[in-house]
Amino acid sequence: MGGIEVSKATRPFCFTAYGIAKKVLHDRLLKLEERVDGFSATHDMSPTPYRSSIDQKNASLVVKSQIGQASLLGVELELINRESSVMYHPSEMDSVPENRSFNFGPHVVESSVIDSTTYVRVKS
Amino acid sequence: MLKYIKVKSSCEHTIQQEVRTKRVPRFLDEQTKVTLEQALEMPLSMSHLPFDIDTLSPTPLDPYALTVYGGVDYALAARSYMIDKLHSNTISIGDTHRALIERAEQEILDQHFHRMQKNDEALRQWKEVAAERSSGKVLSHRDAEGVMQVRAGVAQP
Repeated sequence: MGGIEVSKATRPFCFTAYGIAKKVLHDRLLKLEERVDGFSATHDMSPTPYRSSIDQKNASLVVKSQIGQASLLGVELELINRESSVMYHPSEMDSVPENRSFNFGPHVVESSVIDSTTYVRVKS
Repeated sequence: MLKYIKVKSSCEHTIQQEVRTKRVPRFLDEQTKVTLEQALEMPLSMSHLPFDIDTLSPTPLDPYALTVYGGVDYALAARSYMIDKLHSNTISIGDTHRALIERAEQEILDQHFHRMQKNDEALRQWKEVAAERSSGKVLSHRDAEGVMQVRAGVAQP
């Protein structure tokens, strides 16, 4: 499987709902920290991604961030958040109500979020 | 390095207070005795969709076996829900940004199908292992219920 999915929220083009979903997830992580020995989470609502990929053909952008880590029976685990967005060119589409910009070196990419998925896997 | 540099949100969508039933469904009563192989094969039927119970519910481990509202396929219901959300959130820009919305729709459908396939494959492997190592041992009620809830995507961590 590569990892076990623990949460999934599809909130296309709506940062308000997306923000609510993220808050619920972080509340859940707080509870896990209280209940599970050795579990710690990153409570930065926008952690720095460690990987990103762009599908030029479909104009989609996927970013992955580590948002938590834990130890279970001596096995190191990590919690990964995967967010996908669609990209657009702002000069052609200037009235998208909610967007997010990414800085790829000198290039700025405008995107609108589609969904956020979190899964747990053995730490690599 | 990739960095977030800006978040713009002028969203004026009305977020209605979502009414969620927090009660996790039960699939088996105390008297039902099942083996692991049976628990992996039993029909899954729910009165609510998993995301009606938990806003952040993961994709069910056994998505093709799950039915809701007495017969609707989870696969179809979840797809309709996500596409409806997309259209309601983009209603104000639908006329001018049709291509963008179509790309988003395709991305949602691709992810939905990909995750369902992945989970279905994982459960198939689990079933094969269970069949090979079959002991015929009856599971405790708690364990059997846990298997059913994981298959339905409503088990709590």
